Amino acid sequence: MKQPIKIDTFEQYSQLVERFNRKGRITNDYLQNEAADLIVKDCLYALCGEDNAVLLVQKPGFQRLYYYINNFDELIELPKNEYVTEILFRGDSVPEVEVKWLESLGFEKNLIRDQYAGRYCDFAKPIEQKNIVIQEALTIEEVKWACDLFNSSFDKWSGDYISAEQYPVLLKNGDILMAKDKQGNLLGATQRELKKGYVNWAHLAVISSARGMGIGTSLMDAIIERNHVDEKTRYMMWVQRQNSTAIKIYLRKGFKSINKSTISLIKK
Amino acid sequence: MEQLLEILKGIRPDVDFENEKELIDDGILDSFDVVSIISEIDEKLGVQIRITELDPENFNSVEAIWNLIQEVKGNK
Repeated sequence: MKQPIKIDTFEQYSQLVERFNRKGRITNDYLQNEAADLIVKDCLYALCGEDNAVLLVQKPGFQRLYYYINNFDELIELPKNEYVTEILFRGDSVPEVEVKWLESLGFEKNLIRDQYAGRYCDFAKPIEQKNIVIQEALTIEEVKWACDLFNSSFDKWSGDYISAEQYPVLLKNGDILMAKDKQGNLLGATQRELKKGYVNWAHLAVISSARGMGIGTSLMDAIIERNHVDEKTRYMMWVQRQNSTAIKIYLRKGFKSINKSTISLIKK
Repeated sequence: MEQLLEILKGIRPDVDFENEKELIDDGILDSFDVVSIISEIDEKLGVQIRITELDPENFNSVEAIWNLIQEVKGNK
């Protein structure tokens, strides 16, 4: 079996792309300029066939796979490891040809997520909730509590998984908001990421025993109110498609689906 | 240019491409969108944009993308 080769220079990456980025190819290589950073960190590998190639990014305990497919009959044999890959699609039709090719490599369908966006001026007014206190996470223990809650709602292969090394930065930046009752019991949490030009609403989770009490709505209102700079401030987020209750709340607030979805596939 | 506008609106119907001039800098388009745009330009306009042309500035506005297409065509 062929072993992946490490990509040492951006030129090597460019050459690979030139070779496999043929007319009509199918790819999910969204790395672009990020590739340079991965090469410096010794994280980018490639496995090439005659017509198809995969790029592998080393993550803790698994690899993220990007592909260039020119010939659906040619399979790329992957060494024993755990892998995740993600396919972008628009509209309702999951790209079955790529999915089939990946299933031939041993992948299984995992999650579908849809992207939603909204501007501050388009949002409904916040709803006041007297029994819920929203505060920034003040200690590393609170950040850990919030991240454990977020991480329990998806798998470790997801790009959204928060590792313990990130906790101090989240605390320092004030990126986590906690929801508590009047007695100080923790009920839920949410996380923002301040990006250039927009606010990425990264996570929201409420403990199972406190759901249906408006805590998610309070956290959503708080993250929107506390981060808006002007009427045009934009918020973006990815939502798991099966979360229909949450989606209803987001739509009511004024978020809109922006015709962008991804399906992730996993090989263990 | 009309055809390009049609491609862009097909990919992101929520974006006001006629007026937004900082599509990348304002985070309106991300790398997913850029890859989709490149694929559609290849498929519908027959112009293949190479990785070396993937400077984010080239995707900040319809005009910038249009100029990039003209440049790539001219270099062939």
